Amino acid sequence: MSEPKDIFIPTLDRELGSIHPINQVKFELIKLLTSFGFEVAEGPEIESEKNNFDMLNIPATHPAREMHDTFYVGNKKNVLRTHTSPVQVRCMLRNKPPISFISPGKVYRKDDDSTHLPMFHQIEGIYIDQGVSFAHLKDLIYKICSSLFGEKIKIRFRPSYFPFTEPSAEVDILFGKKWLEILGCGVVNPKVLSNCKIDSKKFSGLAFGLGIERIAMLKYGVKDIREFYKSNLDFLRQFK
Amino acid sequence: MKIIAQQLLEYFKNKPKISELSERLFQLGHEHELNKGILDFEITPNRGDCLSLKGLARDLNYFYKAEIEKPIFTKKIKKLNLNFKNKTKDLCPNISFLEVEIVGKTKPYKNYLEKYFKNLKINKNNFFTDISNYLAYESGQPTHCFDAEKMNGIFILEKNKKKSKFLTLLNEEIEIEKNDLVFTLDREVISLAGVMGGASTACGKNTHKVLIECAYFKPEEILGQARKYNLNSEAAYKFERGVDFLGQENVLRRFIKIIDDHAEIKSLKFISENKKNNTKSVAYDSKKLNEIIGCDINEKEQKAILSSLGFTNGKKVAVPAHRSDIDEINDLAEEITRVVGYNNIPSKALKLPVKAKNLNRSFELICRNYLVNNGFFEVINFPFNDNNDESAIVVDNPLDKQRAKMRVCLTKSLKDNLVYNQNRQKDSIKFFEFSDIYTKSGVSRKLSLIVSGRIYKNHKEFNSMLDYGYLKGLLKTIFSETMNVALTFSSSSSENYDFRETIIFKGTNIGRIGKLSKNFLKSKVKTPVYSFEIDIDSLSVPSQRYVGISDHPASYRDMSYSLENLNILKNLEKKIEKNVQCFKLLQEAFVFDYFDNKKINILKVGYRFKFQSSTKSPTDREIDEIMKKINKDTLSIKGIKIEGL
Repeated sequence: MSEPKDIFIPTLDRELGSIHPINQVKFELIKLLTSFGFEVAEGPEIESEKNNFDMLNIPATHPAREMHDTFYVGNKKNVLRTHTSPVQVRCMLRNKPPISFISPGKVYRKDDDSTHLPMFHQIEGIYIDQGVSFAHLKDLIYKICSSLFGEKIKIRFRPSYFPFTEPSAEVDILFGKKWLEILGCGVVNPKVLSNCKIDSKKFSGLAFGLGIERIAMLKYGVKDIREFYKSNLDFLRQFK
Repeated sequence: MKIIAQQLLEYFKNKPKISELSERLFQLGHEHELNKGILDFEITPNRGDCLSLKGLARDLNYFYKAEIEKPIFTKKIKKLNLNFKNKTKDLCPNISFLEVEIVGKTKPYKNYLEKYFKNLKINKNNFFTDISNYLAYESGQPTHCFDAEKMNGIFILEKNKKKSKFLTLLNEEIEIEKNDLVFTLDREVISLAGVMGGASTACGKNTHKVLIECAYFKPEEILGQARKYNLNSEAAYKFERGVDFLGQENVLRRFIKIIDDHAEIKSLKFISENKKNNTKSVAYDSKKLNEIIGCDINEKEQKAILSSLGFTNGKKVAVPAHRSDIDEINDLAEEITRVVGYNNIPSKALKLPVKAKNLNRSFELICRNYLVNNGFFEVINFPFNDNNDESAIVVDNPLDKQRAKMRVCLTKSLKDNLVYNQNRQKDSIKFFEFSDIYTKSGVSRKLSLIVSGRIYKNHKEFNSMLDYGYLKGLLKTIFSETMNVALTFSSSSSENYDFRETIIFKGTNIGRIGKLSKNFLKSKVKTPVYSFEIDIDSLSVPSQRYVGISDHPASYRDMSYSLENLNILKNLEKKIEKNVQCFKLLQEAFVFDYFDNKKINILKVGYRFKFQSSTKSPTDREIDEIMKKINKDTLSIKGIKIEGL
């Protein structure tokens, strides 16, 4: 007996949907970082200026406040958080070292052009304990980058400036022939530890932060960041 | 900031290749692009000291032995009697003035000066302003040149007393606000301090006598000023990032030397006011430095690095006046790490303490996967819109009027997503979004779904359309499957819906479901659109517990009910559900057949009943007794018949 031809086989093709690509990358990063030992912490997107800036060593007069270009709400009483670092402030105030948290979530900057969006996603991590050094930070960053982009990925560290870390670094990966900035990190500034009631003479810490859109663009080859937020079915269908 | 690479190389005894210089600059944290001999930098905001040739040379000193100081005028200068009063010594503690008069024509610009204008494509202005601009490039210290012949009167540095119009030297008229720091001459504003001078006292091509102001302004006083008045000011950019607070006299002496290179000086007069003299210091602790960095760098090497950067070593490390960014040992650790090279610090294995993880299942996680498996696509929307809801949080400084408030629900965003896709000929749309919603009354986590068009693209379901029943059934299934809870609904209304029901979970209103109105949709496509939105904060998924599996066979009974109309179905469902709850032997009951023919007015619903026990096989007698009770209950509903009974 001959086999039935495909054309006669009844099919019931039910298309799968998809999780949004930004959430897919966010969940993968959470899975990776929790496997290293980090716990997940979440916090509000509407924050006090104190938590968003002051506690993180960014005083009112600091140029970094201009850099962030913030959305203010409620008659300038609060801000839409410009980074997920205020969640770390809350964690440090609530817990005693050793502390190891990651804080994924939406953040806001007053920006809207072809390369910047008023809302995007970050995942930041912090680890506070005795004897934590820049060399430990490097180890963690190597592990994160190797897990995301493969063991052979070339990485370079560049000095940078974040008021809440000292020393501060930006990390580039070699993508083709180009170095691309992938994350910011550093040794937690002792002033931040003191602000959060942690003895900075006894404890030190490391912190890092990644832009999830940046990772997603590299992972999927998306050239225009705005594509993620058009909700175009033809775009979303590609991330099943 | 653009720098001519060759001019930077001239500072060094050991001249590297430009490519090597570029690599070192990256190592030190000075991100740049190199194009045709021009280094175009993005200097980090904490390193105002590097916004010049001198500053960069100083930072590279460890590698190439820099000769940092350029020739200056070293002779004694006569005191300048200036009718000047500084009323804001706290905001401008250090200020110097130099008055210079030249005679005759100026010579063609020497190579270093000419290159600056030619290679960086900067327009020349007049002799004194050109030197001032070059000197800011070379030393990082802005200076301002007043035409001395126009400076007769009472000259004051003060907070502006009232709003006043001011014509800048670029002939732009601005209105300076009260309390901004200004220089006034006979009460008229002649300069927005640290930002830009005015047209009334500006130098011109014929200026031969100049009053040069050179100051240190507190960075926070200048911060944001240029932006506020929409002025492009290199001086403000430098002042707000901090300049060397002790460098004014040296810079003015360098100014004289450059004038001297190009013109005959007739007279020189100088005066200075220095209230801020104390440099900072940081306690030196070699062990602590290595602890921060995480490697062993010997004390000699640490000190050599700090010394090369201008720090004075001792029990306390004296911080040079140009390094406003240094005030603790972590800052020194960064200096050492930069010079050693971040990439040269060996990494140390990091092991985080292991903590117990929360492995509870969340409603959101289960629901997201369920929806994706049913062909739904997740979307993420920006939280801004232009709603009229009184509970909406207003953004004080929105991007535009259309995005001036925080959204109060997800449905409107999903509606926009749907219309966007309808306009692109998509005929089967199933979207969902999870998000926090912030209103004046607080924050809540929401889930919203929207559906329209064909159910699936397969030969059986292509012509079936997504409808209210589909969406309501989906919602009920999610709750019964994840939480084993039956939702209830009550009729409600809203202008945004053609019809709507309130969703009730365990007696609490958690959201709404309905058909969206055409007025709300504003879409050219006429296909009906259905949506629900629920609050998910209070939804917790019960933990999974194993229940023993029966080894005894199950028995089934089917029953076909004839209904007079569809409204009766709800009552039938309730009666059967009650019996399922009542009899342990009756494991489940579900609709396995549904027939509705309006033409011949027949509506039939077939129910299947499953009987099973964990201890024994159910007997016919036991089953018949339960069925008898079910039949009695169901037949008590008016309009229901069981054929044959």
